[in-house]
Amino acid sequence: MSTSVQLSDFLASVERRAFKYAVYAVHDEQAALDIVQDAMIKLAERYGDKPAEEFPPLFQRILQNTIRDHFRRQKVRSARFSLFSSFTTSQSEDDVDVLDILQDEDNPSQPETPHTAVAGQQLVTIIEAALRQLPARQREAFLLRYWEGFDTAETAVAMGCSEGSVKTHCSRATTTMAHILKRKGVDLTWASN
Amino acid sequence: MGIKLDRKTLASLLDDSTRQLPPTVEARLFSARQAALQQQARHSTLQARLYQLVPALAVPMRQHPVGWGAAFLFTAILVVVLFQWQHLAVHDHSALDLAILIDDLPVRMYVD
Repeated sequence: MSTSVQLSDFLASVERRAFKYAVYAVHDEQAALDIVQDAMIKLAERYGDKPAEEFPPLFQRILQNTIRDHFRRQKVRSARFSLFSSFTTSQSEDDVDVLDILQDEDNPSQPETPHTAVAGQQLVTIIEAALRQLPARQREAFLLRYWEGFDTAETAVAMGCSEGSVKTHCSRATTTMAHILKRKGVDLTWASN
Repeated sequence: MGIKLDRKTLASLLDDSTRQLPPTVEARLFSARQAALQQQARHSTLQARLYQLVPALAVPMRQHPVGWGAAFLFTAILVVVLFQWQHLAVHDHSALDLAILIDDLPVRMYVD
């Protein structure tokens, strides 16, 4: 049985990463903060009395489900208001603009990619942009395995799928990331293994 | 001339990115954490009160919460069914009394 101190320590250790996960998924900081808060409250409410070592996979699963719930709600909302969409301007679409996310490699007017001078921050920006281009499940598997440091079994538990699916998602995600990053002059060293 | 990026570097770069969050985001995350902890405290208080009332339940309830929940539900249903059955039995007696009073007993009452 975990204490509130253990839960507090755990949440403090994962909240920033959780926020980043949510931002990569929903591309909206405010929505991401709401998602993280919901996930934290659900963990405390339903599993607050579980041993602290069970928190990581449980929290990841809750977080991913909360992100999916967000998309479901968004889908329902957009379906509900789709009738009115023809009467309004397209200003509401500025929430997520694909052009803000996708990079145009052939456009020379864009800021220089870090082929020559790469600071850590620039590299992070490139990696984050690449992560945003991954499909949700692939990104989930990739981050859990290579950022969170989960093994295949733990990732499968957190994602609610089989270990085989995790391997497939990871492999595809790594290949896609390697392609995207290669265009920016960055080689994923484990992608070819 | 490509930059080599291994798993550890990738993870540490992403970790670095989490250390540069805006103060407003950090404040929201802090308040989210506090809300979660309050939720846990509220839940624990309710449980503690239950365990204080019935100390014998404390350990088994923690180990098998679903099983014990089902047992409580079954017991509650059983109590309701017994109550209903008793109620019906009382009605049966009153019907018999009434039959005796109006001398309208069924034939089976005279068989013995």
